[in-house]
Amino acid sequence: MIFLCGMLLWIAPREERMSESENRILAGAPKLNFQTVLDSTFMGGVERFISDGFFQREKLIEVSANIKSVFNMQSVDDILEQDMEQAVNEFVEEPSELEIEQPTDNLVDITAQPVTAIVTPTPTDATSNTSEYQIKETYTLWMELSDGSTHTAYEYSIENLDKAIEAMNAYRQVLPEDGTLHFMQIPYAATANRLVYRQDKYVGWGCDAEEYMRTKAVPGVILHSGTDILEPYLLEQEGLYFRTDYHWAPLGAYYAHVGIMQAQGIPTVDYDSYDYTIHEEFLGRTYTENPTPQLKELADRLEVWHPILPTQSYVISNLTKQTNAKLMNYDVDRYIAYLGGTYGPWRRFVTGADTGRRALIVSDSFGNAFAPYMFPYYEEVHMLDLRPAYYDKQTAGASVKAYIEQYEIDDIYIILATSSSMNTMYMRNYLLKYLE
Amino acid sequence: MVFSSLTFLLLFLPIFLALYFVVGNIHWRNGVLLIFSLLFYAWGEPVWILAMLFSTAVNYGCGLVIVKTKSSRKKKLVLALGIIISLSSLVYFKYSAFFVNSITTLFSLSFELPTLLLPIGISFYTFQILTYTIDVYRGDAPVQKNPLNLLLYVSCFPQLIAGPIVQYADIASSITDRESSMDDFSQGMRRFVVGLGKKVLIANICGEAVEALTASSGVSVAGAWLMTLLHALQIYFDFSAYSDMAIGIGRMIGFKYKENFNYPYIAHSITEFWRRWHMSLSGFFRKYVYIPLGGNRKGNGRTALNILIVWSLTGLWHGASWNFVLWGAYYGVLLLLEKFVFHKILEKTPKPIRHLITLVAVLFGWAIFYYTDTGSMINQISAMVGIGAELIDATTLTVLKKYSFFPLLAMILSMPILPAIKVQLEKKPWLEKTGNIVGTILLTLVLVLSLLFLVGESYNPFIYFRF
Repeated sequence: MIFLCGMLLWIAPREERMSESENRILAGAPKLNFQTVLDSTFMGGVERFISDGFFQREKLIEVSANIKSVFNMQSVDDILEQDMEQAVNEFVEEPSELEIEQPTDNLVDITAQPVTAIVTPTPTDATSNTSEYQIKETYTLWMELSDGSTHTAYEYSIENLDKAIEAMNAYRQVLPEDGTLHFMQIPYAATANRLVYRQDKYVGWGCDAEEYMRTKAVPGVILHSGTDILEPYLLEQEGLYFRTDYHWAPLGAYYAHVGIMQAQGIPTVDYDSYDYTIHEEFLGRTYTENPTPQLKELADRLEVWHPILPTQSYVISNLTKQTNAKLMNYDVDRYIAYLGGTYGPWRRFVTGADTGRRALIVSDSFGNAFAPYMFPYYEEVHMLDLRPAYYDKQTAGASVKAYIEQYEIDDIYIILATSSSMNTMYMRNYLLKYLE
Repeated sequence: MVFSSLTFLLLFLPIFLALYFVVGNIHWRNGVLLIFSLLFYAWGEPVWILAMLFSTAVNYGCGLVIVKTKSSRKKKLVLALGIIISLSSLVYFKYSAFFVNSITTLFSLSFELPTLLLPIGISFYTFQILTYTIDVYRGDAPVQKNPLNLLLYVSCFPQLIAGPIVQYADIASSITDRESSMDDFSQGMRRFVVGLGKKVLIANICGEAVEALTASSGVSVAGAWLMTLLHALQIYFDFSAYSDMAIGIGRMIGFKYKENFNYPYIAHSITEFWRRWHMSLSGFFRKYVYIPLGGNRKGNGRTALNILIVWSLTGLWHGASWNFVLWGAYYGVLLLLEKFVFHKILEKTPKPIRHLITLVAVLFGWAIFYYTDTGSMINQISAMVGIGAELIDATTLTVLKKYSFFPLLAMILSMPILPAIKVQLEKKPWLEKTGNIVGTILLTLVLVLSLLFLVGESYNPFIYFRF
């Protein structure tokens, strides 16, 4: 049997391609040279190449997930409330052919909106705030229960919050004088959906980490509370997050952008002003990890945004090397439809909005559903995902600071899920490490 | 390279076996085995193959000098030289940062030595090469004049990275003279598949459950016990799986390695547990450390000291961290208490209660073993005894619901039920035949399921690789 399976390896596809079940690009053949053998990256590459190139891999993964689910005694509610952060392995896709989106009928609507340059809010006086603020031992993201008690979902140490705000302050320093840095932390679907579907138990949520970091923020650093912004919408309606996936849906991303823009006094474009390609039977990562019939019945609706203005999409490497990339992938009914998945090291969108300002969104995959809603406010939107799978300094060709200077970035938006925020290497280490 | 990787299972092993059996001559077969063994080692860390070659060369030279020298004093000197050089390499890579940093912490010095990258399997192959020199010195084994044969003994890929620790005297003759019948091959393959199933279908899934529990922010009493129990199952099925696979491959090609595990979780005492757990390591320490120190022949005081020395070394062998030292000392103390304080009480205690006491003691041992970070270890043990922890938490309930089947299966399989069934089947020929057919079908199913579970699974190394 192992001889037979060994032979099957050779008839499996060899090229790099997408794994829809795992939301990632499968490994291609590794590069063979003296250095890659010596540091054993070649051998690691061979292992990944063989594993990723296994005959009928996607189907076999589905079968093994189905077998495991037979022994899984969790109810649908258990699965939906389960934290997926440990299981996530996100997707990255290589750049492909040029794809410029054509204008839609809504062009008139958007041009009629009073889109203006960003107004910088009144600077925060960090020193005076610190003196009035009572520092706690730890900060939390909590769920409010119907009996009046709270349940801690995440705990943040002062050390981690200090590192996060130090990094954000440093990013603000490399922006022009009128530039702003915005930060928002986004909880996962398992946490957020409790406010929608478990209102018998959960009546609200909150986070005091931003409150602490505000006391140490330099002027121009604006910390938005994702929990405060999304809470009223979550308590009133469905659809801000998927149920069979751990990401937010575009509606959640839309309301997050509304909160950020309203805080700056900027009018926003209506959600319905955009056209969407609809996939009615979206089964996300939560389902592929737990493929139960009950969960399948909760298939989500995937709305894939169309731009209002002609938008060009590129991947940037070596600071200036520009390759065309898909703006959206309307053919797949997966989260990777948004921006075609996560590309590294940089992405650049020329939005067609003549606002004279440029933004950089530093994010994880949650940024992919969010970024399109920022297009009307910026003539260029750039993206950066600093997770090791998507970013390395060599391919990037320059530091973040050099990139900001090269592309004349005005504002930065750090939009990170709880899996990449203050308690993780992303904010504790990568942000500062790659800045200079 | 990992036995439970698709690269090994579907590429390395089939090609090796094909080439090995195509060449008929033992010398050519040894050539094939040596080349594949070096490739196997170099696959993960090509540079560190030099450390293994160096250690082999030193001990090869020592062996030759020992047999040629008439003076027993010179023999002792050469033996000491071989042992010191071999252990120096182990101490340098594995313990230098630990020792230096412990001293600098103790004296509040700012200097810190960075931890070196550990050559994979160094603890195993160092002990194996030492058994060669010592066995030659004692006259228990003939000197190996062919350096390639000695290198083959050290680097032989089935047991190179995570044991069992093979003593040279046990397989010296098999290096140049071994046969493999069809029955050996078939039994070896069956044993290999059993190991693969234990690793992929049980140990990996228990490991997933352990990770889910440790990732949770709070620790409850139930969570702490469940986590420790799952880790106990994971480490047993992981490590014994590797031994099964090693013994299986060895048997396919004619080596008969000694058993490394014998259902340790059915033990009724700590002494018995260690007669059933990692038997090759216990055997090594007994033969090469405990007995030369005087064993139990020099009075109770000396016996106690010898036990503590052996168990401190056993702990330290597992890793350069204080939790391993503590773990070794914990067992040393338990063994002393069992031997000198409670032996009469234990003799009168009913077997099920002794079994329960032993299991609880072993579980506390695994709680010490798991955490290299002292704070987390204290939290875990505190939670196990109910200090500052709620009774049960949501994560524990989730893990129980999600993962209960495979750990339950693991608990059943950690008892000698299958050997008992086999004995019953062997009593009647027709039953034995039916049992063989059912066994083959089950093993085929285990192989298919293991391959299926491995597709799409990321790197899943064996726990004992880090030692």
